[in-house]
Amino acid sequence: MNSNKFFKYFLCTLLSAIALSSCQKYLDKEPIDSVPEVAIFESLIGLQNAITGAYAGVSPAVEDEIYQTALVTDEATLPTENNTGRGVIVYRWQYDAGTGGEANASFRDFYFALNRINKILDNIGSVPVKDAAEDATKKQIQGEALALRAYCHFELLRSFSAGFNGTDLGVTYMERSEIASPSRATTAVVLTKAKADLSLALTLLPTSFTLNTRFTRNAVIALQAQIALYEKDWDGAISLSSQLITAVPLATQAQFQAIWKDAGNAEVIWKLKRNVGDNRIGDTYFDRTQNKIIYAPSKELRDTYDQANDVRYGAYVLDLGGGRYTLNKYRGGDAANLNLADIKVFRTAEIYLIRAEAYAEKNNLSAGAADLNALRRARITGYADEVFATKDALVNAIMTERFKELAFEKSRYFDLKRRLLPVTRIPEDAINALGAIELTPAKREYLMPIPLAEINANGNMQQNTGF
Amino acid sequence: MKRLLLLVAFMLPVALLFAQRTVTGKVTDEKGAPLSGVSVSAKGTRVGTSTNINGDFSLNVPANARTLVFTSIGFQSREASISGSNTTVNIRLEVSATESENIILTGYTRERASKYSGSASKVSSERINNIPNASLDQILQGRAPGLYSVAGSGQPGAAATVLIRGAGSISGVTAPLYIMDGIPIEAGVFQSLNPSDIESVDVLKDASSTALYGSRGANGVIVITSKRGKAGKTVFSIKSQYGYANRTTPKFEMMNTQERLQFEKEVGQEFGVTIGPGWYLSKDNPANAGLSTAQQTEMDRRLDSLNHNNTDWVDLFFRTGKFQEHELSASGGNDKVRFYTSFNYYNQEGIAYRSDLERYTFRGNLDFSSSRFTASISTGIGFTKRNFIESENTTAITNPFSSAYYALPYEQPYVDGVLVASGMASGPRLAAATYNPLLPSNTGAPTVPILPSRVLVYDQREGSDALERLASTTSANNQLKGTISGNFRLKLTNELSAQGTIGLDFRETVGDRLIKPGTHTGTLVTGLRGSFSENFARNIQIAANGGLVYAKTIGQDHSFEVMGLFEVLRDWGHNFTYVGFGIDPLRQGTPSGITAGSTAGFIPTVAGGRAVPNRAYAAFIGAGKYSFKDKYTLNLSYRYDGATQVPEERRWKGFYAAGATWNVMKEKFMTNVNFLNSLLLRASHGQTAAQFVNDFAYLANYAGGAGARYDGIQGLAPTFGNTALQWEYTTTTNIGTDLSFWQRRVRMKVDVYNKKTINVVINQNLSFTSGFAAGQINAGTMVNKGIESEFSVDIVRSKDVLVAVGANFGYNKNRITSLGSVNEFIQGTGIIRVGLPLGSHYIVKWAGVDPLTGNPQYYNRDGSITTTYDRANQSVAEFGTSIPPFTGGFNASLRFKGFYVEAFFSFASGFKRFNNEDFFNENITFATSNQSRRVFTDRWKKPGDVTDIQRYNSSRQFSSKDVQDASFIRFRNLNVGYVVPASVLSRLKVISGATLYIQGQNIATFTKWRQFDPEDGNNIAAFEYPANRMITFGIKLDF
Repeated sequence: MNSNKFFKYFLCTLLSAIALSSCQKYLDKEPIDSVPEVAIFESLIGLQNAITGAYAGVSPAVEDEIYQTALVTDEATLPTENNTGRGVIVYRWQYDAGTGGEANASFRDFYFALNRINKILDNIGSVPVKDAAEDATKKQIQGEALALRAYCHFELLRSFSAGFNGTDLGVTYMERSEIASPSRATTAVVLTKAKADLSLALTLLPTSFTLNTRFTRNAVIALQAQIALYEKDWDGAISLSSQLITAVPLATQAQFQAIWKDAGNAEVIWKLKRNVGDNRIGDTYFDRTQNKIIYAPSKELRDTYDQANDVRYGAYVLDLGGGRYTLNKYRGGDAANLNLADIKVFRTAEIYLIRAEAYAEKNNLSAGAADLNALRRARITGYADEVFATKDALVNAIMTERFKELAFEKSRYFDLKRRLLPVTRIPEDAINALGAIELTPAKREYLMPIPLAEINANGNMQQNTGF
Repeated sequence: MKRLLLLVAFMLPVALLFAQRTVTGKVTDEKGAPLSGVSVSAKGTRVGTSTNINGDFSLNVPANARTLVFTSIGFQSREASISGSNTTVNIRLEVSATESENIILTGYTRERASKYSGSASKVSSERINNIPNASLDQILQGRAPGLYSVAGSGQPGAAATVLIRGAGSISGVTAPLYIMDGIPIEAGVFQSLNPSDIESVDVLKDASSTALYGSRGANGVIVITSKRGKAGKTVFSIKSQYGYANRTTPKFEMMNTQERLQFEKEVGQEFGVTIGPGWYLSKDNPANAGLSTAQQTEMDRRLDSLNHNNTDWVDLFFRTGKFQEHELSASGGNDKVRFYTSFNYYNQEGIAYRSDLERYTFRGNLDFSSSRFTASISTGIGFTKRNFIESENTTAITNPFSSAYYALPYEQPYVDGVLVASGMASGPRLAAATYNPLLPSNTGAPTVPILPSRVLVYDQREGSDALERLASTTSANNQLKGTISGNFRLKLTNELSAQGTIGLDFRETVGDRLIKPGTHTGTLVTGLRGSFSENFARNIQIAANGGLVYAKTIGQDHSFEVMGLFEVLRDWGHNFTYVGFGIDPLRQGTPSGITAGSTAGFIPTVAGGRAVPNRAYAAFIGAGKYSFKDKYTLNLSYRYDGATQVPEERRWKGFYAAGATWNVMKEKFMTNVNFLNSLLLRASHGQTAAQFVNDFAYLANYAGGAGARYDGIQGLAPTFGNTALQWEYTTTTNIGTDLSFWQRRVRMKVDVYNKKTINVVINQNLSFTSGFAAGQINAGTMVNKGIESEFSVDIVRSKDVLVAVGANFGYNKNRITSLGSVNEFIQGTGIIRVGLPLGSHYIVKWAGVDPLTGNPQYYNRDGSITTTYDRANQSVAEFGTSIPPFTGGFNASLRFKGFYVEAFFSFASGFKRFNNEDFFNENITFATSNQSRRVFTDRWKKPGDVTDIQRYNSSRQFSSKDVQDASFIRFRNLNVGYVVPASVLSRLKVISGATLYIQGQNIATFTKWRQFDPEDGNNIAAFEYPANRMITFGIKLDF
């Protein structure tokens, strides 16, 4: 009986042990459709996948930013035929931190992209390379990631900082991927860190890397020039701009039209490529499904162009007849994929305007006017050079030119904010604005609110004044 | 083991040496009709047989046998003494209507209610079988206390949201576990299951009843049991049901044409804005002052013509849906083998155009029993085809239910029989395309001549566009589902049995969508020539368990039962989607019509995966039961569960429950208590857990998808992972009683419970700087406390007349008691806050319209009133929850001879939902669409007006004004029928049973809720597909 009992126990234990150990194996399952994080940085292929994912993260953030700045400023008007309610809270300046998500969607999306970027920079050291060619690719990816990091932070700063003076509240500069509750750095700190990232990127990016859908050396220089302008480092802005103006000439009129049909790359220093199947940026402004204009180029904007002679008017504005004008810039060049268009981030035209402004600020009116006239000459048939008597006249002309040249390229809001100018709408553009005709820097809505979700989740995040 | 066999081998011939005798007899029912297939066994021995077709049996019993036991499903078991020289036993078995209610099926075991400490409710076949609703989960609404089931959609075959005893998780799974014939089946996938095949549904609610399911048991378990064959004459049944469905009576109050045109004129006069022809064409519009008399006459004429349009959009988007169902079933067998088989055809049209469901189901159930071995094979196979409306549950105008609200009453969709939609580039719309009178630059006098031969459109074409979309697209799916299981039990010795279950739940859903080429919608997709997409998803669950059951009775007083099982479960999925473009108009609706990969840009897109779901479980299960004198019973259960859903270090965990029952009536002191017929007290306590939504939520991964694709290259992007993730543990304590009195005419069941869930998974909001909006953590504690009761009373119970009423209700109080390091999370218009129930609304409190200015006013948190709206700083959580605490149902039945009437109501109360429809329909931003009549009649116009509708040109914001009471009582079912008496049928010879009935679903709904339907599974109303009201006529014949 005793031996029997022992046998029974032995058998039971043995069976249980076998069952349990085979269970352990049985339960050893792994996801199939995704790759564990540790495996990503074990190969160059993984690294390449990660940098592609990073660009994919930046792209919607920039799209958000273009929409956000168009809604807030005098670039866009809300036509009566837009009965979708889309964007109206922001267009009417009724947003707060929790409503009117279009005002700060870019905050979320840029930081999401930054996490993708920082994971690369955090782990790139451990990625093995086989030969010099692979090492060069690895360095190039590191350079792109650094440049993207600087770019994302600069865009966040432009949208969400309390201002562009060094001591103004800026944004959090994320230097690594981490789950934390950081606070905001000052504008000076953000710009210093961004410049450091860009300098390092220049040492890593090879001159042979010239793909304008990626962050190349030229794009780094363009961003450095922009930063110099915001820092009022006029000499820096001039020297950086000059490098690019030599390297990437302005487009001819024919080339210019091709840019917006995505049929040419003249003067495009960096663009975010959109392919069939990706989000169509033009859908934001024109609803294909109902042939409905959601946000139209404002009358104020349309009226600034010499409509007969300025190549920009036709490239940017499409007259649908019956008083309906829609944005042509993002309708793309593929009739079978209406509204699918690349997002042009840096163009030589802006570099000319940066240099013109820097010259003007240095009271070099002739050099400033020369740049402005060069741009206008390239755009307007039969243009006769204009002479500017005062610095203010030149600066104002440059501002107007930026409005015209860079309309719906997210520049308008930043230019006004940079110079603390109000947003004003003419009555024809304010029919559905419920009285939103002047947004002065004194109003809280002049600054974009940090999203309420961020404030709720992160006790250290300071909100912009008034929200 | 060997010795045991030896012992048996020795004893057999010894037993043969004992004197034997033969007992014979006949088993009949109450009326004396012979009963076949009744199992007859000698108590305390292994001898047994069953009755033949005439109810006769003959059994050789050992001399020491004293008692015979007669058992048959559907009848009360009886024992008869065979002591002495008694060799003939004739016995009558009583049918018990409540017999099936006394057995609780837990999926692993069959439990007698009188010895079961768990809290369970049974829904029996007659409440399920003939309901013309394709979704079994919806049919359960109001049928079991503590079970809340609501349909999120009136689309035939839509799944319901089901909660048992409240929501047990914040961001995790709240749906119960479904078990069918012993194996787990997919939750929410019932469209291919025929409710007529269901014998019973047991709803298991407390730990004692769900602990055997361990890590999947916390949200309750719904055990579905299909019909089994009965021994005896083979019965064929034919069932047919025909009917039609219409919408219920919605509180739908939008402006009609006259009101709308007047409204347009008024706001034009008051605010100088043009939102439509009522102002644009008006004589009073200053912009028209300079027009010639001829032009003015023309405008008057047009206005007058519009005035005569009154399109009934509700009529255009809804229809009368036809319904039919036919079923052929057969059931029969003998004492060894029994079968039940059925074939059912079900066809239901939705009350919205295009939506329908067509279903074929087959069931074959087979039971085999011998004295040592029993086996049950259950096979259910269903094939369903469904068509859907467009953009269901969205606020888009392509959703017909939103267009019914948005579309202007003077919009005429058809001109000379041709649909005029806004996007059409040719046809009658041509003139309007070049001339849209609604544009700001055209608010003045017409500058473009109006061509009288062309159609001019003065509206937004919202209804017409929805009609265009409806006609130019299709959206369908078909589903093949099979649930196959086998249960086996082998008696090894008198006490020891081996048992096992193995099964497969298989489902394949193929969705397809066509956007027709040559239509306006067809020009909106890549390539401008329509598209065709197919979406293929397969889900397979395999379950197997096996083990031993040991049962022994010692003396008269002590009975034990111990069960030990080992179980493995595997659940995996597979899905694939493609979209192809450039559709050949002659071959629409098939992939062969796609132009693939051409230079014209017709590149198909593909997506899919191999791992949703992808999970496995392994478990050791133990259960024990001890009964003393049938008076006190102790139930213990334990499951040592291993699962892939949690990280390896926490993969194995034990779950347990202990419960006890006290059958008070068996006590001596109760012998003189005559008013009570039964009294059982139950108590249980235990711990279970719930599954996670995602299989590898704990792993930080890099995943692909459109969000990681750039410049034509597929990249990867990081996902959030939390390696500290672990189960949400739910500890439930339950105390209950079952009692009956007045000759069992009053039957009651009351349960009180306290269910505490710790480690509640929360989508914790993260700083965006972390790269994620939220991440899953275990941070909360939530308590669901409640009381449930069900009772039924047979008021009159005689041979010819039965009058009975019944009711059940559950009151569940849900509270979040901790959220770890924080006190609250804001989630859209809701808040998760300590001290509040889940589903709490969180929004700015509405303070009415300022009578002086007409401005909307809001409360600041300090109670002061302001016209400034600031969601971040004004929102409060004072508006209750979207999850009803109080739910249930009540019913009444009346039977007179063959006639019967059965009525059933369900209700849900004490909850509020966000009425997003009001937000759209009372909002200047959407004023070019139609608006609520209230906007016309009640809007603030001048100082002194006291109203709830703010000044026209003031900004409409989300506020507590839109948080509205959605409580409802629904007259869910009324069935009036006639059972043809046997005396009539006996003359027909062929037919053995006939029932004729007429029934109605959702006959009336009592609610304060405006819009189409209060019933929905979420917190916000956004133009959902409403429930229907259906009338059907049915007939059932048995042969």
